[in-house]
Amino acid sequence: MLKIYFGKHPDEIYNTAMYYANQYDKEWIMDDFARKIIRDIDDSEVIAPDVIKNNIFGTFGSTELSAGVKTLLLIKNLPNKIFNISNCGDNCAKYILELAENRDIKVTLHHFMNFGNDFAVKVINEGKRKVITDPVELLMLSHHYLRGNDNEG
Amino acid sequence: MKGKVSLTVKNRHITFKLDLERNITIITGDSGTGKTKLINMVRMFSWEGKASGVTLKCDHPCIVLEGNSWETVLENTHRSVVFVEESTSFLTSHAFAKAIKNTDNYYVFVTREGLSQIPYSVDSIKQIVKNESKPKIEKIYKNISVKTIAKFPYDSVIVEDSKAGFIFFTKAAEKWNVSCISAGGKSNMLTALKKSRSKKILLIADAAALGSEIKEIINYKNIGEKTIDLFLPESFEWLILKSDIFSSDPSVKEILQNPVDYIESAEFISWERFFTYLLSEITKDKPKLKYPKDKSKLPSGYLTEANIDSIINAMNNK
Repeated sequence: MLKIYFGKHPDEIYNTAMYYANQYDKEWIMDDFARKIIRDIDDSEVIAPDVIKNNIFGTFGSTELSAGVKTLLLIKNLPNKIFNISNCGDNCAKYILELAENRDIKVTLHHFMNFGNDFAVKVINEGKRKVITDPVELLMLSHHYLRGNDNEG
Repeated sequence: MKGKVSLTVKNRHITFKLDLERNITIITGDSGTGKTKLINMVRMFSWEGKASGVTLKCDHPCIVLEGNSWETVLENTHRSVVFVEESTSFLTSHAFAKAIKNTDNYYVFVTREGLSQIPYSVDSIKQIVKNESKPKIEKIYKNISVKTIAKFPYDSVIVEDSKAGFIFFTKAAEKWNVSCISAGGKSNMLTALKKSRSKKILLIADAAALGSEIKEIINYKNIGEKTIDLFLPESFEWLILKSDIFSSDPSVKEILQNPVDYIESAEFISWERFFTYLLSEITKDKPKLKYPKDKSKLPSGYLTEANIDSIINAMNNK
Protein backbone atom coordinates (compact mmCIF):
# COMPACT_ATOMS: atom_id res chain seq x y z
CA MET A 1 0.00 0.00 0.00
CA LEU A 2 1.22 3.50 -0.80
CA LYS A 3 1.31 5.66 2.33
CA ILE A 4 1.36 9.36 1.54
CA TYR A 5 2.44 12.08 3.92
CA PHE A 6 1.45 15.49 2.55
CA GLY A 7 4.02 18.23 3.20
CA LYS A 8 7.35 18.27 4.97
CA HIS A 9 8.41 15.23 6.97
CA PRO A 10 11.48 15.28 9.22
CA ASP A 11 12.86 12.08 7.70
CA GLU A 12 12.10 12.72 4.05
CA ILE A 13 14.65 12.91 1.27
CA TYR A 14 13.40 16.03 -0.47
CA ASN A 15 15.95 16.38 -3.26
CA THR A 16 15.89 12.88 -4.68
CA ALA A 17 18.14 13.67 -7.66
CA MET A 18 20.93 14.76 -5.32
CA TYR A 19 20.46 11.66 -3.15
CA TYR A 20 20.48 9.44 -6.23
CA ALA A 21 23.74 10.97 -7.48
CA ASN A 22 25.43 10.03 -4.22
CA GLN A 23 23.84 6.67 -3.50
CA TYR A 24 22.87 4.95 -6.76
CA ASP A 25 24.00 1.49 -7.68
CA LYS A 26 24.83 0.99 -11.35
CA GLU A 27 22.95 -2.32 -11.34
CA TRP A 28 19.64 -0.64 -10.42
CA ILE A 29 18.79 0.08 -14.04
CA MET A 30 19.22 -3.54 -15.16
CA ASP A 31 15.95 -5.15 -14.03
CA ASP A 32 12.69 -5.30 -16.00
CA PHE A 33 10.97 -2.57 -13.98
CA ALA A 34 13.85 -0.14 -14.50
CA ARG A 35 14.04 -0.88 -18.23
CA LYS A 36 10.28 -0.36 -18.53
CA ILE A 37 10.18 3.04 -16.81
CA ILE A 38 13.33 4.28 -18.57
CA ARG A 39 11.77 3.35 -21.91
CA ASP A 40 8.36 4.85 -21.12
CA ILE A 41 9.30 8.02 -19.22
CA ASP A 42 12.72 8.90 -20.63
CA ASP A 43 12.38 7.39 -24.13
CA SER A 44 15.66 5.58 -23.59
CA GLU A 45 17.05 2.04 -23.61
CA VAL A 46 19.29 0.43 -21.02
CA ILE A 47 22.45 -0.92 -22.66
CA ALA A 48 24.56 -2.02 -19.70
CA PRO A 49 25.09 -1.11 -16.02
CA ASP A 50 25.13 2.70 -15.93
CA VAL A 51 24.88 2.93 -19.72
CA ILE A 52 21.67 4.22 -21.27
CA LYS A 53 21.03 5.33 -24.82
CA ASN A 54 18.52 7.47 -26.65
CA ASN A 55 18.14 8.99 -30.08
CA ILE A 56 18.89 12.56 -29.07
CA PHE A 57 21.70 12.35 -26.53
CA GLY A 58 23.42 9.13 -27.51
CA THR A 59 24.74 7.19 -24.51
CA PHE A 60 24.69 8.59 -21.01
CA GLY A 61 24.98 7.52 -17.38
CA SER A 62 22.12 6.98 -14.98
CA THR A 63 22.66 10.30 -13.16
CA GLU A 64 21.34 11.90 -16.37
CA LEU A 65 17.98 10.15 -16.06
CA SER A 66 14.95 12.27 -15.27
CA ALA A 67 14.26 13.11 -11.62
CA GLY A 68 11.05 11.09 -11.86
CA VAL A 69 12.84 7.91 -12.97
CA LYS A 70 15.57 8.39 -10.35
CA THR A 71 12.92 8.73 -7.65
CA LEU A 72 11.17 5.55 -8.80
CA LEU A 73 14.50 3.67 -8.75
CA LEU A 74 15.22 4.94 -5.25
CA ILE A 75 11.78 3.87 -3.99
CA LYS A 76 12.23 0.42 -5.51
CA ASN A 77 15.74 -0.18 -4.22
CA LEU A 78 15.69 1.64 -0.88
CA PRO A 79 12.16 0.90 0.37
CA ASN A 80 12.85 1.92 3.95
CA LYS A 81 13.62 5.52 3.06
CA ILE A 82 10.99 8.23 2.65
CA PHE A 83 11.33 9.91 -0.75
CA ASN A 84 9.61 13.04 -2.01
CA ILE A 85 7.47 12.01 -4.99
CA SER A 86 6.87 15.63 -6.00
CA ASN A 87 9.98 14.98 -8.08
CA CYS A 88 7.73 12.77 -10.18
CA GLY A 89 5.28 13.91 -12.83
CA ASP A 90 1.81 12.44 -13.21
CA ASN A 91 3.30 10.04 -15.77
CA CYS A 92 5.11 8.32 -12.87
CA ALA A 93 1.95 7.83 -10.78
CA LYS A 94 1.04 4.39 -12.14
CA TYR A 95 4.57 3.13 -11.46
CA ILE A 96 4.53 4.42 -7.88
CA LEU A 97 1.29 2.49 -7.36
CA GLU A 98 2.84 -0.58 -9.00
CA LEU A 99 5.81 -0.47 -6.62
CA ALA A 100 3.37 -0.29 -3.70
CA GLU A 101 1.22 -3.22 -4.85
CA ASN A 102 2.92 -5.87 -2.76
CA ARG A 103 4.61 -3.87 -0.04
CA ASP A 104 4.18 -0.76 2.05
CA ILE A 105 5.91 2.32 0.72
CA LYS A 106 5.96 5.60 2.61
CA VAL A 107 6.47 8.79 0.59
CA THR A 108 6.04 12.53 0.96
CA LEU A 109 4.06 14.60 -1.51
CA HIS A 110 4.14 18.37 -1.82
CA HIS A 111 1.64 18.87 -4.62
CA PHE A 112 -1.54 17.28 -5.92
CA MET A 113 -0.60 14.23 -7.97
CA ASN A 114 -3.17 12.79 -10.31
CA PHE A 115 -3.37 9.03 -9.64
CA GLY A 116 -6.34 8.61 -11.99
CA ASN A 117 -9.58 7.04 -10.82
CA ASP A 118 -8.44 3.55 -9.88
CA PHE A 119 -6.15 3.61 -6.87
CA ALA A 120 -5.96 2.86 -3.16
CA VAL A 121 -3.61 4.83 -0.92
CA LYS A 122 -3.36 5.82 2.72
CA VAL A 123 -2.86 9.41 3.80
CA ILE A 124 -0.86 9.25 7.02
CA ASN A 125 -0.77 12.86 8.21
CA GLU A 126 -1.94 13.15 11.84
CA GLY A 127 -1.57 9.41 12.24
CA LYS A 128 -4.66 8.67 10.15
CA ARG A 129 -4.68 5.31 8.40
CA LYS A 130 -7.87 5.35 6.35
CA VAL A 131 -7.66 3.88 2.85
CA ILE A 132 -8.54 6.45 0.20
CA THR A 133 -9.93 5.33 -3.15
CA ASP A 134 -11.97 8.40 -4.08
CA PRO A 135 -10.12 10.99 -6.25
CA VAL A 136 -12.16 13.84 -4.74
CA GLU A 137 -11.31 12.77 -1.19
CA LEU A 138 -7.61 12.56 -2.06
CA LEU A 139 -7.77 15.98 -3.73
CA MET A 140 -9.44 17.55 -0.70
CA LEU A 141 -6.93 15.96 1.72
CA SER A 142 -4.05 17.18 -0.42
CA HIS A 143 -5.55 20.66 -0.42
CA HIS A 144 -6.14 20.56 3.33
CA TYR A 145 -2.60 19.56 4.27
CA LEU A 146 -0.70 21.58 1.66
CA ARG A 147 -2.58 24.86 1.97
CA GLY A 148 -2.27 25.37 5.72
CA ASN A 149 -1.25 28.87 6.75
CA ASP A 150 2.12 27.78 8.06
CA ASN A 151 2.93 25.36 5.31
CA GLU A 152 6.10 26.09 3.39
CA GLY A 153 5.88 23.18 1.05
CA MET B 1 12.33 44.77 -15.79
CA LYS B 2 9.48 44.84 -18.26
CA GLY B 3 8.76 43.66 -21.78
CA LYS B 4 8.82 40.23 -23.35
CA VAL B 5 12.08 38.33 -22.86
CA SER B 6 13.02 35.57 -25.28
CA LEU B 7 15.78 33.09 -24.74
CA THR B 8 17.29 30.24 -26.71
CA VAL B 9 19.51 27.67 -25.01
CA LYS B 10 21.17 25.01 -27.11
CA ASN B 11 23.94 22.48 -27.30
CA ARG B 12 24.87 19.92 -29.93
CA HIS B 13 21.89 17.76 -29.08
CA ILE B 14 18.96 19.92 -28.07
CA THR B 15 17.51 23.43 -28.39
CA PHE B 16 15.09 25.06 -25.97
CA LYS B 17 13.23 28.26 -26.84
CA LEU B 18 11.40 30.09 -24.09
CA ASP B 19 9.38 33.29 -24.20
CA LEU B 20 8.77 35.05 -20.90
CA GLU B 21 5.79 37.37 -20.97
CA ARG B 22 5.58 37.98 -17.23
CA ASN B 23 7.96 38.30 -14.31
CA ILE B 24 7.16 34.79 -13.06
CA THR B 25 7.02 31.65 -15.21
CA ILE B 26 6.49 28.13 -13.94
CA ILE B 27 7.72 25.09 -15.86
CA THR B 28 6.02 21.93 -14.67
CA GLY B 29 4.51 18.72 -16.00
CA ASP B 30 5.52 15.14 -16.67
CA SER B 31 8.88 13.61 -15.89
CA GLY B 32 11.35 13.03 -18.71
CA THR B 33 10.50 16.11 -20.74
CA GLY B 34 13.81 17.93 -20.24
CA LYS B 35 13.22 20.40 -17.40
CA THR B 36 16.42 19.43 -15.58
CA LYS B 37 18.31 19.42 -18.88
CA LEU B 38 17.24 23.01 -19.52
CA ILE B 39 18.34 24.13 -16.04
CA ASN B 40 21.68 22.30 -16.35
CA MET B 41 22.41 24.02 -19.65
CA VAL B 42 21.60 27.46 -18.20
CA ARG B 43 23.82 26.67 -15.20
CA MET B 44 26.74 25.54 -17.39
CA PHE B 45 26.51 28.65 -19.54
CA SER B 46 26.37 30.92 -16.49
CA TRP B 47 29.57 29.28 -15.17
CA GLU B 48 31.66 29.04 -18.30
CA GLY B 49 29.92 31.03 -21.03
CA LYS B 50 30.46 29.76 -24.58
CA ALA B 51 33.36 27.63 -23.35
CA SER B 52 30.74 25.39 -21.73
CA GLY B 53 29.62 24.23 -25.16
CA VAL B 54 26.19 25.71 -24.48
CA THR B 55 24.91 28.63 -26.51
CA LEU B 56 22.51 30.93 -24.72
CA LYS B 57 20.93 33.87 -26.47
CA CYS B 58 19.06 36.34 -24.31
CA ASP B 59 19.15 40.11 -23.82
CA HIS B 60 19.59 39.58 -20.08
CA PRO B 61 21.98 37.48 -17.97
CA CYS B 62 20.55 34.10 -16.97
CA ILE B 63 21.49 32.37 -13.71
CA VAL B 64 20.38 29.36 -11.67
CA LEU B 65 19.76 30.41 -8.08
CA GLU B 66 20.76 27.68 -5.63
CA GLY B 67 22.73 26.90 -2.48
CA ASN B 68 22.76 28.39 0.99
CA SER B 69 23.88 31.85 -0.09
CA TRP B 70 20.89 32.41 -2.36
CA GLU B 71 19.79 35.54 -0.48
CA THR B 72 23.12 37.29 -1.03
CA VAL B 73 23.23 36.24 -4.68
CA LEU B 74 19.68 37.49 -5.21
CA GLU B 75 20.42 40.84 -3.58
CA ASN B 76 23.17 41.35 -6.14
CA THR B 77 21.23 40.14 -9.17
CA HIS B 78 19.45 42.68 -11.32
CA ARG B 79 17.69 42.76 -14.67
CA SER B 80 18.39 39.05 -15.05
CA VAL B 81 16.44 35.87 -15.68
CA VAL B 82 16.68 33.79 -12.52
CA PHE B 83 15.98 30.05 -12.76
CA VAL B 84 15.23 27.93 -9.70
CA GLU B 85 15.30 24.17 -10.01
CA GLU B 86 12.87 21.57 -8.73
CA SER B 87 13.66 20.39 -5.19
CA THR B 88 15.41 23.59 -4.21
CA SER B 89 14.14 23.81 -0.67
CA PHE B 90 14.02 27.63 -0.38
CA LEU B 91 11.66 27.89 -3.36
CA THR B 92 8.59 27.21 -1.23
CA SER B 93 9.68 29.36 1.70
CA HIS B 94 8.04 32.60 2.77
CA ALA B 95 11.53 34.16 2.92
CA PHE B 96 12.00 33.53 -0.78
CA ALA B 97 8.54 34.86 -1.68
CA LYS B 98 9.40 38.02 0.26
CA ALA B 99 12.86 38.31 -1.31
CA ILE B 100 11.64 38.27 -4.92
CA LYS B 101 8.90 40.83 -4.32
CA ASN B 102 9.64 44.13 -6.06
CA THR B 103 12.85 42.92 -7.66
CA ASP B 104 13.78 43.86 -11.20
CA ASN B 105 14.37 40.27 -12.40
CA TYR B 106 12.23 37.76 -14.22
CA TYR B 107 11.94 34.31 -12.63
CA VAL B 108 11.54 30.80 -14.03
CA PHE B 109 10.62 28.19 -11.44
CA VAL B 110 10.79 24.51 -12.31
CA THR B 111 8.40 22.92 -9.87
CA ARG B 112 5.20 20.97 -9.39
CA GLU B 113 4.49 22.49 -6.01
CA GLY B 114 1.83 25.19 -5.79
CA LEU B 115 3.64 28.32 -4.64
CA SER B 116 0.66 29.82 -2.86
CA GLN B 117 2.72 32.62 -1.29
CA ILE B 118 3.70 33.93 -4.74
CA PRO B 119 1.03 35.48 -7.01
CA TYR B 120 1.55 34.01 -10.47
CA SER B 121 -0.74 33.73 -13.43
CA VAL B 122 -2.53 30.71 -14.83
CA ASP B 123 -1.15 31.94 -18.15
CA SER B 124 2.46 31.65 -17.03
CA ILE B 125 2.34 27.92 -16.24
CA LYS B 126 4.12 26.01 -18.98
CA GLN B 127 5.24 22.51 -19.83
CA ILE B 128 7.90 21.09 -22.10
CA VAL B 129 6.41 19.00 -24.88
CA LYS B 130 8.80 16.41 -26.32
CA ASN B 131 9.67 17.04 -29.96
CA GLU B 132 12.96 15.26 -30.72
CA SER B 133 15.84 17.75 -30.52
CA LYS B 134 13.56 20.79 -30.46
CA PRO B 135 11.15 20.42 -27.56
CA LYS B 136 8.38 22.99 -27.35
CA ILE B 137 7.60 25.00 -24.24
CA GLU B 138 3.86 25.62 -24.20
CA LYS B 139 1.21 27.05 -21.93
CA ILE B 140 -0.66 24.29 -20.08
CA TYR B 141 -3.94 26.09 -19.45
CA LYS B 142 -5.42 27.39 -22.69
CA ASN B 143 -9.04 28.43 -23.27
CA ILE B 144 -10.17 27.34 -19.82
CA SER B 145 -12.30 30.43 -19.19
CA VAL B 146 -15.76 31.14 -20.56
CA LYS B 147 -15.82 34.44 -22.43
CA THR B 148 -19.20 35.69 -21.37
CA ILE B 149 -21.45 35.10 -18.40
CA ALA B 150 -24.43 37.15 -19.57
CA LYS B 151 -27.75 35.82 -18.21
CA PHE B 152 -25.89 33.75 -15.59
CA PRO B 153 -27.13 30.25 -16.55
CA TYR B 154 -25.96 28.80 -13.21
CA ASP B 155 -27.41 27.60 -9.90
CA SER B 156 -24.84 29.64 -8.01
CA VAL B 157 -21.75 31.79 -8.39
CA ILE B 158 -18.59 31.54 -6.28
CA VAL B 159 -16.33 34.58 -6.34
CA GLU B 160 -12.74 34.35 -5.06
CA ASP B 161 -12.85 38.00 -4.02
CA SER B 162 -14.64 39.29 -0.95
CA LYS B 163 -14.39 42.98 -1.77
CA ALA B 164 -15.22 45.08 -4.85
CA GLY B 165 -15.41 42.13 -7.23
CA PHE B 166 -17.79 40.29 -4.96
CA ILE B 167 -20.01 43.38 -4.64
CA PHE B 168 -20.13 43.67 -8.42
CA PHE B 169 -20.87 40.05 -9.29
CA THR B 170 -23.48 39.79 -6.52
CA LYS B 171 -25.34 42.72 -8.08
CA ALA B 172 -24.90 41.36 -11.62
CA ALA B 173 -26.19 37.88 -10.72
CA GLU B 174 -29.10 39.28 -8.68
CA LYS B 175 -30.92 40.26 -11.88
CA TRP B 176 -31.04 36.57 -12.86
CA ASN B 177 -31.96 35.38 -9.35
CA VAL B 178 -28.66 33.59 -8.96
CA SER B 179 -27.01 33.58 -5.54
CA CYS B 180 -23.41 34.66 -5.23
CA ILE B 181 -21.01 33.68 -2.44
CA SER B 182 -17.47 34.75 -1.68
CA ALA B 183 -14.83 32.06 -1.20
CA GLY B 184 -12.85 34.57 0.85
CA GLY B 185 -9.57 34.07 -0.99
CA LYS B 186 -8.02 31.83 -3.61
CA SER B 187 -6.98 29.08 -1.21
CA ASN B 188 -10.61 28.61 -0.14
CA MET B 189 -12.09 28.13 -3.60
CA LEU B 190 -11.76 24.36 -3.77
CA THR B 191 -13.45 23.96 -0.39
CA ALA B 192 -16.23 26.34 -1.47
CA LEU B 193 -16.78 24.31 -4.65
CA LYS B 194 -16.92 21.05 -2.72
CA LYS B 195 -19.29 22.45 -0.08
CA SER B 196 -21.70 23.98 -2.57
CA ARG B 197 -24.96 22.09 -2.96
CA SER B 198 -25.47 23.57 -6.42
CA LYS B 199 -25.04 21.36 -9.45
CA LYS B 200 -24.11 24.05 -11.95
CA ILE B 201 -21.59 26.54 -10.65
CA LEU B 202 -19.73 29.53 -12.03
CA LEU B 203 -16.36 30.17 -10.41
CA ILE B 204 -14.96 33.68 -10.84
CA ALA B 205 -11.33 34.46 -10.01
CA ASP B 206 -8.37 36.57 -11.11
CA ALA B 207 -6.28 34.53 -13.55
CA ALA B 208 -3.31 36.81 -12.82
CA ALA B 209 -2.83 35.32 -9.35
CA LEU B 210 -4.54 31.94 -9.57
CA GLY B 211 -1.53 29.90 -10.72
CA SER B 212 -0.96 28.06 -7.45
CA GLU B 213 -4.54 26.78 -7.31
CA ILE B 214 -5.40 26.01 -10.91
CA LYS B 215 -4.27 22.37 -11.11
CA GLU B 216 -6.48 21.38 -8.19
CA ILE B 217 -9.46 23.33 -9.53
CA ILE B 218 -9.14 21.83 -13.02
CA ASN B 219 -8.83 18.35 -11.52
CA TYR B 220 -11.95 18.85 -9.43
CA LYS B 221 -13.80 20.18 -12.47
CA ASN B 222 -12.70 17.16 -14.54
CA ILE B 223 -13.76 14.65 -11.90
CA GLY B 224 -17.26 15.88 -12.69
CA GLU B 225 -19.16 15.86 -9.42
CA LYS B 226 -20.69 19.14 -10.57
CA THR B 227 -20.78 21.19 -13.73
CA ILE B 228 -18.34 24.02 -13.23
CA ASP B 229 -17.59 26.92 -15.56
CA LEU B 230 -14.60 29.14 -14.89
CA PHE B 231 -14.67 32.87 -15.58
CA LEU B 232 -11.07 33.99 -15.29
CA PRO B 233 -10.34 37.55 -16.40
CA GLU B 234 -6.80 38.77 -15.67
CA SER B 235 -8.38 40.51 -12.71
CA PHE B 236 -11.63 42.28 -11.90
CA GLU B 237 -9.94 45.64 -12.45
CA TRP B 238 -8.63 44.47 -15.85
CA LEU B 239 -12.19 43.52 -16.79
CA ILE B 240 -13.42 46.99 -15.87
CA LEU B 241 -10.62 48.65 -17.84
CA LYS B 242 -11.43 46.47 -20.85
CA SER B 243 -15.12 47.39 -20.75
CA ASP B 244 -16.80 50.08 -22.84
CA ILE B 245 -16.61 52.42 -19.83
CA PHE B 246 -13.00 53.18 -20.76
CA SER B 247 -13.13 52.48 -24.49
CA SER B 248 -12.61 56.15 -25.29
CA ASP B 249 -9.31 56.26 -23.40
CA PRO B 250 -6.56 55.46 -25.95
CA SER B 251 -3.85 55.05 -23.32
CA VAL B 252 -5.82 52.32 -21.53
CA LYS B 253 -6.45 50.51 -24.79
CA GLU B 254 -2.76 50.66 -25.65
CA ILE B 255 -1.72 49.24 -22.28
CA LEU B 256 -4.27 46.44 -22.46
CA GLN B 257 -3.06 45.41 -25.89
CA ASN B 258 0.42 44.72 -24.57
CA PRO B 259 0.57 44.88 -20.76
CA VAL B 260 4.02 43.28 -20.59
CA ASP B 261 5.55 46.44 -22.07
CA TYR B 262 4.13 48.60 -19.28
CA ILE B 263 4.32 46.51 -16.12
CA GLU B 264 7.61 46.99 -14.28
CA SER B 265 8.35 43.90 -12.18
CA ALA B 266 10.19 45.98 -9.57
CA GLU B 267 6.95 47.84 -8.86
CA PHE B 268 4.32 45.16 -9.36
CA ILE B 269 4.74 41.52 -8.36
CA SER B 270 1.62 40.63 -10.38
CA TRP B 271 -0.42 42.10 -13.22
CA GLU B 272 -3.44 42.11 -10.92
CA ARG B 273 -1.76 44.72 -8.70
CA PHE B 274 -0.80 46.82 -11.70
CA PHE B 275 -4.38 46.92 -13.05
CA THR B 276 -5.70 47.88 -9.60
CA TYR B 277 -3.19 50.75 -9.53
CA LEU B 278 -4.05 51.80 -13.09
CA LEU B 279 -7.80 51.81 -12.47
CA SER B 280 -7.47 53.80 -9.27
CA GLU B 281 -5.17 56.31 -11.00
CA ILE B 282 -7.38 57.01 -14.02
CA THR B 283 -10.55 57.31 -11.92
CA LYS B 284 -9.22 59.47 -9.12
CA ASP B 285 -10.95 62.55 -10.52
CA LYS B 286 -14.20 60.77 -11.41
CA PRO B 287 -16.38 60.74 -8.28
CA LYS B 288 -18.79 58.02 -9.43
CA LEU B 289 -16.01 55.76 -10.65
CA LYS B 290 -13.22 56.54 -8.16
CA TYR B 291 -11.78 53.10 -7.49
CA PRO B 292 -10.18 52.56 -4.07
CA LYS B 293 -6.70 51.00 -4.11
CA ASP B 294 -7.67 48.69 -1.26
CA LYS B 295 -10.74 47.54 -3.27
CA SER B 296 -12.84 47.84 -0.13
CA LYS B 297 -15.77 49.52 -1.87
CA LEU B 298 -17.23 49.64 -5.34
CA PRO B 299 -18.40 53.10 -6.47
CA SER B 300 -21.98 53.31 -7.65
CA GLY B 301 -20.93 54.22 -11.20
CA TYR B 302 -19.98 50.60 -11.87
CA LEU B 303 -23.36 49.29 -10.74
CA THR B 304 -25.64 50.89 -13.30
CA GLU B 305 -27.36 48.36 -15.55
CA ALA B 306 -25.47 49.58 -18.63
CA ASN B 307 -22.09 49.41 -16.95
CA ILE B 308 -22.76 45.99 -15.43
CA ASP B 309 -23.55 44.67 -18.92
CA SER B 310 -20.50 46.39 -20.31
CA ILE B 311 -18.16 44.86 -17.71
CA ILE B 312 -19.72 41.39 -17.89
CA ASN B 313 -19.18 41.30 -21.65
CA ALA B 314 -15.73 42.91 -21.66
CA MET B 315 -13.82 39.64 -22.16
CA ASN B 316 -15.13 39.64 -25.74
CA ASN B 317 -13.85 43.15 -26.46
CA LYS B 318 -10.84 43.43 -28.73
